Amino acid sequence: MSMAQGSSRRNGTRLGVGLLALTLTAACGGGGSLGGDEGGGEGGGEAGGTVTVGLVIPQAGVYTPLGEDMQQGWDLYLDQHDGQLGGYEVETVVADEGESPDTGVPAVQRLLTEGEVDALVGIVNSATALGVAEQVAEAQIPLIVANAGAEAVTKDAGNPYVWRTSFTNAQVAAAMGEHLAAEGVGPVYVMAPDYAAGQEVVAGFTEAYEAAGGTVAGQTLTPFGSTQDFQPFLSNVQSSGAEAVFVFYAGGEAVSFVQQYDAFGLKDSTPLYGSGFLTEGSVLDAQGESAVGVRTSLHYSTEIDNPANTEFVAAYQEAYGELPTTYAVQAYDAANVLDSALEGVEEVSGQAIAEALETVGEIDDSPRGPWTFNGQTPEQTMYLREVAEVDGTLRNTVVTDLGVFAQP
Amino acid sequence: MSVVPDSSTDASGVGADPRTGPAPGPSRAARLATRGIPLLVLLVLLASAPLFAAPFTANTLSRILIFALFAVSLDLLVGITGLPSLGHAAYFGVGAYTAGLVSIHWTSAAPVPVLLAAAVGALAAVATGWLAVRSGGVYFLMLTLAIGELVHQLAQSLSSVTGGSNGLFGIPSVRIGGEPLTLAGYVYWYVLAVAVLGFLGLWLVARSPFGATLRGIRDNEPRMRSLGYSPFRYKYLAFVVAGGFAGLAGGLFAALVRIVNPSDAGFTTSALILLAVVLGGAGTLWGPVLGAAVVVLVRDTFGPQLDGHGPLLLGVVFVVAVYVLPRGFAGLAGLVPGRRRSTGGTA
Repeated sequence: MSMAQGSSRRNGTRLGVGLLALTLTAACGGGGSLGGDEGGGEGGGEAGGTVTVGLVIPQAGVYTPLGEDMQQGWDLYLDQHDGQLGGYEVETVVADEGESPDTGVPAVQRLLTEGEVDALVGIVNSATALGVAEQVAEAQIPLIVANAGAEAVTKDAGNPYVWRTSFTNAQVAAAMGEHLAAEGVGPVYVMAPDYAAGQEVVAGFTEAYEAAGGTVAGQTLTPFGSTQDFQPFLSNVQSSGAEAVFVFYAGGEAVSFVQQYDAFGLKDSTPLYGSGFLTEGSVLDAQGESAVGVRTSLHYSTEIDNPANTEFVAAYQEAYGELPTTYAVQAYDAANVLDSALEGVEEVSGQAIAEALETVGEIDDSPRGPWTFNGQTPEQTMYLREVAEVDGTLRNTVVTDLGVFAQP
Repeated sequence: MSVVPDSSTDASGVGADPRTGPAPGPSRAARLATRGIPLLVLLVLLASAPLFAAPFTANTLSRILIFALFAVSLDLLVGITGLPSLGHAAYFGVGAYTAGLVSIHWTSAAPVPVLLAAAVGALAAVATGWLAVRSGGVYFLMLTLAIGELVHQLAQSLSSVTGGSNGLFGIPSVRIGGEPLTLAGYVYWYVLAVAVLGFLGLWLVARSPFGATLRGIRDNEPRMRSLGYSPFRYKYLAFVVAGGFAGLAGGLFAALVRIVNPSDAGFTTSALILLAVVLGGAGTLWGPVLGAAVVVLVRDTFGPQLDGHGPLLLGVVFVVAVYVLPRGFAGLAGLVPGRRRSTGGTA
């Protein structure tokens, strides 16, 4: 470490200078970053008849399965419509959102500042959505969030360029809160991981549930991402005198929670309710028998009985050999919304698309049933779903619909 | 670490050690020219980048500068003092949150947020370093890892202040003279100005007698102690200085990205920056700059376009670098023909 440092340092400086200068010159294309404050606002449009959409989805990290579903939903819509949206030929540029804003924000920044995209679709992580909300407005490129459920995306951080075709955390939970209060299931114990989404779900549920006259038996926020053993928490549930449990977990935590809830013997005495992500997508297969009978609320299920959904599920299964998920539907609907918006656009630009989104009105051919934008996020029907075995696979069967809910 | 007289490690940098041997006036001037001119050219090149670089390139360069400053601050610990830290992102994160909160709730007028970020970063290092620098080796690694996780957890759970896992968003643009800097090129100039001052500060620290003492402690702590130095005090001060500069880098990061989230203070960031230091060559100050550039380019610029193989590419780069460049990019400099002669010690 200490040897030859003197001379190597001098050489080093020169080598360093050389290498850096090389990187710099290599990295510099034409352009200049001081002119024109509309950023990529005018990109792509003049090509005549094409629209470029940046699809920002997780391709690496824990959210990869969601990203795959979203890509498939997006591709399916385009395949069904000859690769066109609103009469414009679509060019999709895919970027990897990764796990966190550390990777997601630069990915979006790149699409925005290179000035090629007319609209952005995707974003799983709420923090990433919040981190780019202001930047898409500055670049005047509309962003259609196809998953991230933080309320602030379309409220505190909202602006005319940020739209959402998914849900809000509290919206999904509030539907279940009202339902459980109306059913009179008795005191409910509430559990969620201790991070922003978990906190929003707990708040949304508790508010709606108590407003409708329910009583909460207790509440626990478990450490996020590091809880593998839920037994200590489950024994609290047992001793609290709760008649039912409402939880929000997703991914690996959803699998271990549902299995341990069953193994602990609570499943038969205290019914388990949840936000739909508890049993959505690949986690359901992993949960297996333990999940049967779990009831959740969500804005989509493959078992919704309407013609648009029947057709969608069949087409999706044929194309990809698996059942669609809510993530696929959210991306599918994002394409659908862009399709409607672009129909009224004479010359493609981010600003024109954002304005056209205001006039989209009711989306009447969505697999989830008709819905409308309210505050730039869906006002939609929530379904009460119950896990059951259908044709040898576990599915979220629809018990009933819980009514139409807007962002709380 | 071999035991080598101090002159071999720091003499050439200071250029004032009488034992360095033949270093008369003319060669000093020549040396200044060979080192100064390329540096000047580089500075001019960097400063003129926004005139011809596209906004994304300017953004990438800003990121590189910020992570380079962060890496060099860590190099003060790892390379100069011999304290490999796995929690250095804690101070980066503290700085970023400080700058973000100051910008949101008080003022985003430059340079208030970054200066406060540096101050609070240093304060956080004062509070935690007192414990950490009493240990060494693996224990130091574990302690700094714990400190990093602690800050990460605090950022996660103090959601009314930090925004929790949604991150601290809505940070306003930096303002200079009341004018907000929204264009990538202007933000880049701001980042460049602060980062260059930061590099200068770290370089001055490293080449000062204080820096020489740190190297002495790194190479032979018992001997330094027997000479009457207090290794604890020097290491503690180095830890605080490194924390302050990491905070400064964090402050710039908040100004550039305008969202801060808990993972910026977490293990992934700490590990990535330690890898940048190792990749570049610890102890050289300039090596980690290159390491940071490679990390940023691979992760943020090329990564998202690789169909999800970004992290894989980063991993491959590190594995290859460890085998091909055992002493980082800095090791390459020793291979330049005719430049192997060392001023002291054994090569």
